[in-house]
Amino acid sequence: MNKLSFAISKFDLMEVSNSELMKVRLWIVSEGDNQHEKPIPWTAIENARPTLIGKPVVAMYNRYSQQLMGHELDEVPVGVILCDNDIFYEIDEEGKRWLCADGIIWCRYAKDVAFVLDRDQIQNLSMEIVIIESGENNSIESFCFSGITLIGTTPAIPNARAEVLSFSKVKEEIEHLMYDFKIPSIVKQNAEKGIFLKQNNPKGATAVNISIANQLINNEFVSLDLLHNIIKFSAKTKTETAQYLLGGFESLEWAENIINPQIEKFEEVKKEEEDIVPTEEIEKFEEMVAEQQEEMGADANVEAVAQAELADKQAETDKVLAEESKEQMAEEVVLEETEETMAEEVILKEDEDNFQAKYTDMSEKYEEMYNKYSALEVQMSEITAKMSTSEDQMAIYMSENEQLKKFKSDIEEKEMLSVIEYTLTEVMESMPKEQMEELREDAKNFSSENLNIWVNKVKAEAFSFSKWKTNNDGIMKVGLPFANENNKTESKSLWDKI
Amino acid sequence: MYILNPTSISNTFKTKSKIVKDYLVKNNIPLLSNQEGFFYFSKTKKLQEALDNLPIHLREEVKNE
Repeated sequence: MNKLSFAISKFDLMEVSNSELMKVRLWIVSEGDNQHEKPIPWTAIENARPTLIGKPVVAMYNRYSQQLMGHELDEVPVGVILCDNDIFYEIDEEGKRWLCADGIIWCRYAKDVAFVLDRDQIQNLSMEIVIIESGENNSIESFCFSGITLIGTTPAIPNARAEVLSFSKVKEEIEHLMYDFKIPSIVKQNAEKGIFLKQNNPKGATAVNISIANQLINNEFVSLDLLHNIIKFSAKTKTETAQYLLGGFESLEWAENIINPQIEKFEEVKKEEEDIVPTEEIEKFEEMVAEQQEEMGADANVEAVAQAELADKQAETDKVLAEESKEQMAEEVVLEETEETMAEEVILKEDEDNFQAKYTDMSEKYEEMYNKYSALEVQMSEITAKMSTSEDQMAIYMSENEQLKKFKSDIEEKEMLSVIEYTLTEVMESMPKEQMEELREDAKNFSSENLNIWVNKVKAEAFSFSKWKTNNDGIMKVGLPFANENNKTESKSLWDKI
Repeated sequence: MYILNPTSISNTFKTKSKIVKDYLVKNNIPLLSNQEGFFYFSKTKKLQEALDNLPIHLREEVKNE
């Protein structure tokens, strides 16, 4: 029987686990006065700090208002403050000192609270404390924490809040920390100037200086090793080109400003470590000295002999040490030279690594560009094919259109001719033939749209001819002033019926 | 700030009425504590102003305690 196996990497597990937690920054308590008018001195806050470890974050959700409530008796734990590393001090914009902590909210078991935090990103906060000692003026001199409450009401300590820590906020913090290590623009400009000067005046443009200049130009942030190298090689520079390649005087000042405080800190820590000598060891050493003194006092002659022997031995060791020191001096000179070459090699290696990284980046970018270009080419060929088919269709439509236009003009011409002939036949009896021919010629000046003008003109001309014409049939015709009833058309109008 | 042992401090105002407590909290007066059926508030100027301007029915509740 085949077994089914499912592999889940550690990364996936952590991702799934982290999605169930929400990290919040809790601004818990600040020094000074509060809305209860019970001021808390900073020393009391500092003393209460250890009592915050492991304490719950509690809240009560109101499902009707979809907001968090205040301090309630039935509030439930929704998260926790894990350890001492998550507790720290901060100074706000007003210069007030705050006790802060990074808390964790359980998204699975406190869905409503996680929903409110996710929606609002910020929530009011209140601390639950047990007062140990209260002083004069209602001040709280000593207290310990019992929990942190996320509330929807006004907090007693103004600006006490819980902020949801998102990826962008963490990034901002890291950028703030990295600000000192950001290479200033003036240093970059100096390095570029050094590269330019190198072409005319190559004196002092060593491989190390050039590689430092390249690193200053190409990188946004600087490493501690590079800062050490800048300080080290700036001391040896004699030419202007070398000085600019290392980033100029500004670069040296900037590097020293970063490195020196760190060296001071390191020395302080070292001193503290040296100063701390275990008391047990001191006691043992004192006992040993006391024992030796007792032995020395018991046998004075032995001491004199031992002193003489010691003097001889010291003379011999001095000689050996003098010879060794000479050898060491020679070795140090060799070492200094090798150190320089080693540093150059390290920097060259870094350059090679950078170059390789850039080459791989460039090749990846080139591949992406090539893929995009090939995709565009395919699209272009499709578009040209569509264009050619549409052009053919256009030619067919145009030829059809021309045929239709011709057909239309032919019909219009026929209609015009029929109208002309009809009007001329109407006036044929009363108009002489010469005049008719003239009017027929005149009709050519009119189109189908304004042919009515010509028709009126013809009728007007015909009227002028028929005006004085007499009938030769011998009957005198007289017009009556009323209409013949037989000729009346049937009207549908109500007035006509009445 | 919420205190779990309110009897250890002086200068507090306490009430048993939940309506009065809700009214004060709505008027941005923070609750100091809630123990053994009593709601505790710090005696401040702001609290005094709120108590002076209590609605009549709430004033009666406070008086009856």
